[in-house]
Amino acid sequence: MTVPNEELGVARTEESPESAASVTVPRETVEKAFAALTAGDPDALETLYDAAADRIYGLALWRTGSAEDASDVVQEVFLRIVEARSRLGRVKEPFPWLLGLAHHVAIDVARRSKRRTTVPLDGVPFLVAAEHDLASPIDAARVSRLLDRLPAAQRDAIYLKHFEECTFARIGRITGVPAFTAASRYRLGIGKLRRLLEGRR
Amino acid sequence: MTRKPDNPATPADPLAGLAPPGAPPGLKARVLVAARAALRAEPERPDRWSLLWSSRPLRLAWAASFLLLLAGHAVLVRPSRPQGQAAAPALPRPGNEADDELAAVGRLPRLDPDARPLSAGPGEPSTRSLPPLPEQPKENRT
Repeated sequence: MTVPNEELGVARTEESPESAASVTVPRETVEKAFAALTAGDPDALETLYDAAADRIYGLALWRTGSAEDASDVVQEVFLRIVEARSRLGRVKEPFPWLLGLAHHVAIDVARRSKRRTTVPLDGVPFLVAAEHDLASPIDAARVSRLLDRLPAAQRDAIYLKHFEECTFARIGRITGVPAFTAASRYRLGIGKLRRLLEGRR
Repeated sequence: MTRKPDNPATPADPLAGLAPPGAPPGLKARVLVAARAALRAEPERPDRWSLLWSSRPLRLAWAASFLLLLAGHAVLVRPSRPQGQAAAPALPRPGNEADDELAAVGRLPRLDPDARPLSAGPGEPSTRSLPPLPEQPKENRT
């Protein structure tokens, strides 16, 4: 399946192994952890945590806009994995499945915590400067504040596209929307972020 | 996890050199303790009703049996009253006089076989051949 992106002027081919979500974490690591969990091995939980927790936390943070809620999401995701351990062998794409699970749990948690919403004083740290980049800390805080003004669905699309390098079709499957909706959300979100960075509304 | 700044897909990448924060350090212990406890816990056997609703084959069986009952009801009930035939009025049981009267009212009216046709005038004899009346002897008025 080819997903055109007129704004970016590129067309990506779907489902090539290189375009898989798991770039830094080998697919085999997650698959082996799933197999070990199905067999009841508790050490597999730590392997899975090391492989996936940061990325689940990142997606949850961008969705919920709260570090506390994002931590709850990570814990809830692991509990659900344990509950579903007998069916993990049937998961064809482990990492996208994990991200999809995290996305759904994050929506649940965000909905529950709406009742106790508090406005953070210093904004949500959606981004931090990369280790090699010394000039970015100020930018990170500024971009985080601007990201906070985007709708959560658009933030999701930007996160999955930029940091997980997912195709729009995969983003659609993870977030439960058609590929074109995912592409549209990304285009709108990144466009608005650029306008905000330029000082325009 | 940072995106390459020279990615042609985003010429002016607003997120270049930035990355989402990792999970907090204390979270790992908390998550693993909870997950291991859940792993050790004996999985609860679901009760029969929740099993009925959660199992797909059983849900299908529910639906199939309901449809079967519905179809059976339609097939068995329909022939009991033939189409185009109105139900006969219930007649009262014989033996009671009042009931007999009611029965007579409910009964279909019978045509009198000796009735004159409508075309015949009041003075005209019936077209129906009637047996000749016996001649009566003339009376002497003297």
